Amino acid sequence: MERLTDRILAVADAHPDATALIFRGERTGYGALAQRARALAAAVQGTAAPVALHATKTPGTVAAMLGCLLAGVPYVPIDPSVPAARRELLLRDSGARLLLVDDGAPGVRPPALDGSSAAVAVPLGRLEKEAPRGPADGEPSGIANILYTSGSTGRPKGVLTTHTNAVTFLRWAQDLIGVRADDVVACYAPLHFDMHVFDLFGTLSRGAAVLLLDDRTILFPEAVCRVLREEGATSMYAVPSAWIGLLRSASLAEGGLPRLRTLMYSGEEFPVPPLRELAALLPQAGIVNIYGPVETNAVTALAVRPEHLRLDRIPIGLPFGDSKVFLIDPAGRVLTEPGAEGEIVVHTATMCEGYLGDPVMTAASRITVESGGETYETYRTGDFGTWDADGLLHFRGRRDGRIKTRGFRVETGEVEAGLGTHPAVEDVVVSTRPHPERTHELIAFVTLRTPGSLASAELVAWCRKLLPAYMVPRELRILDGLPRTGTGKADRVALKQLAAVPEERC
Amino acid sequence: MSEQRIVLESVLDSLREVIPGRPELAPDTELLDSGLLDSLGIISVVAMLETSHGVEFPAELHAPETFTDPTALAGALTGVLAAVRANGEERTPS
Repeated sequence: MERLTDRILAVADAHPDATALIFRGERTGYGALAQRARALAAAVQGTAAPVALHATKTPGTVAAMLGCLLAGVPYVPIDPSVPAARRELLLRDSGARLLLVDDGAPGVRPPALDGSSAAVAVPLGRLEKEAPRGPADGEPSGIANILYTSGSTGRPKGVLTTHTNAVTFLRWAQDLIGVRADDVVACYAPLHFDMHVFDLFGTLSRGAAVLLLDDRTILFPEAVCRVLREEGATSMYAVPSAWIGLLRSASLAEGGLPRLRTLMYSGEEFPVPPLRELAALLPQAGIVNIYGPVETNAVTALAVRPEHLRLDRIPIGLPFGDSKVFLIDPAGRVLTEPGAEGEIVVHTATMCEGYLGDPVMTAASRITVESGGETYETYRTGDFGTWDADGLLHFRGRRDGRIKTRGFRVETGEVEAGLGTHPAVEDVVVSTRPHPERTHELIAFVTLRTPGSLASAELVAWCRKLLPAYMVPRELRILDGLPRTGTGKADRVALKQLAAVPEERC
Repeated sequence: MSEQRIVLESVLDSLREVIPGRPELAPDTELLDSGLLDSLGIISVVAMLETSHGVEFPAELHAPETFTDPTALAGALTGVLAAVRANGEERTPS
């Protein structure tokens, strides 16, 4: 079995002086990175539980990821900006005993833990000093990492990705993108996103340099544009809202990004008009649309050509690598005729192992389908699509409560569950409205056990203590009663219409 | 109220307007690492302050150091206002 670190260590042995990481103008060579990763691997090897990472986007966190992979211990990257209650929940759920913190990076402080999980926060610097000497190969776990994503029942789900899943994904991505040793690949997405697998390991496997755009810089399109230009970035993989932000920065319009040769996006649909504008500003860059949930990493891909930019919506493209993509009807039958709409399911070597500690949900996420006399175990994306006459897949939305906002996947049910834990809340429905840059905004409708007992600001503050910032409703309206359908359920259609009209600020 | 105080109050007002749920904010409330401001929030706050004070934030202020907390933002705005006065280019607030 090839492990994620095999190629990276081979590059480090052959070219120790080549630049592996660029961070705030400072360079880390492959040799130095591998040495740090080996020291950290020696310190964590043999740990039975996964190792959690306070995933600040810094060279130390990258070394810690590589160290875990090398030691055969799954890592769990945790968004450093989440509220404490959320961090504790992920630590408890993952069973992690260690939360590694890159204390050497400026401004990074170990978060205080309340003792409700088995984890202790350990600064990387201390771990490196205490690392025992010796070979770093323990009995390796097949699991590379556990990435948490929003769960519709109110609890986040830990997606188990194996080394084989990730290595296969990177091999197919390399066929598509062709990362070269002289590339500078910008890492835009936060490190708890699945995109880090391509950004870090896809790049380092090829001897190229990763340009780490730190967690604060990515909030400032002008600053991002400046760094991309100064460091000569040749490739960047980011969600459409990030690219649209860049498009609006004055410096992109003035000087473009002359060295950028690949513009990759995924995570949500790219509206065609801004993509057209970007293509015009960056005429030398190839555009690649990658589609797929974290459970499979990628399902389809499309090299976007000028004719696609003339369509109303960009197709999501062709099956990724050797994967087999099917559309099925509600009875599970495979649909093949162009234009017929069905749920997108995929049979692929990149399909994750399942959800941590939840075999029931893992089983529910899969379905066996028959096609051409063969049966295939597939992952159900819950997304709907159609084939066109050229064999390209087109995305047609979802029929449940999962949405994307700025590329983050959110189950509205999880936000409802969070609000529902407030003792004053009687009932809650979280709806959405489309937004040109955030894709969707969350609007919560709440009824109270005692009318007038609470202001909406208090409930938003409650959400802020429980949920990541992107799950906090943009607007929260307290109603006397929720509109009901004939069967007595909350009328989500009526509420969606209500949500479409922004509330007047008083 | 001192000018410093007035500028800080106007910064706090704009932030409360932009951040969902009009949260309680102190002069040293962390704005970026906490996720209170996203990139569109930053753009909105800048636009509000530019309109209410009749100034423009130069490109070099569109950087993390300007937005770490309300005090930092008020300091940056004070600098912009002083520069405008020094140049005698103050426009009528719209």
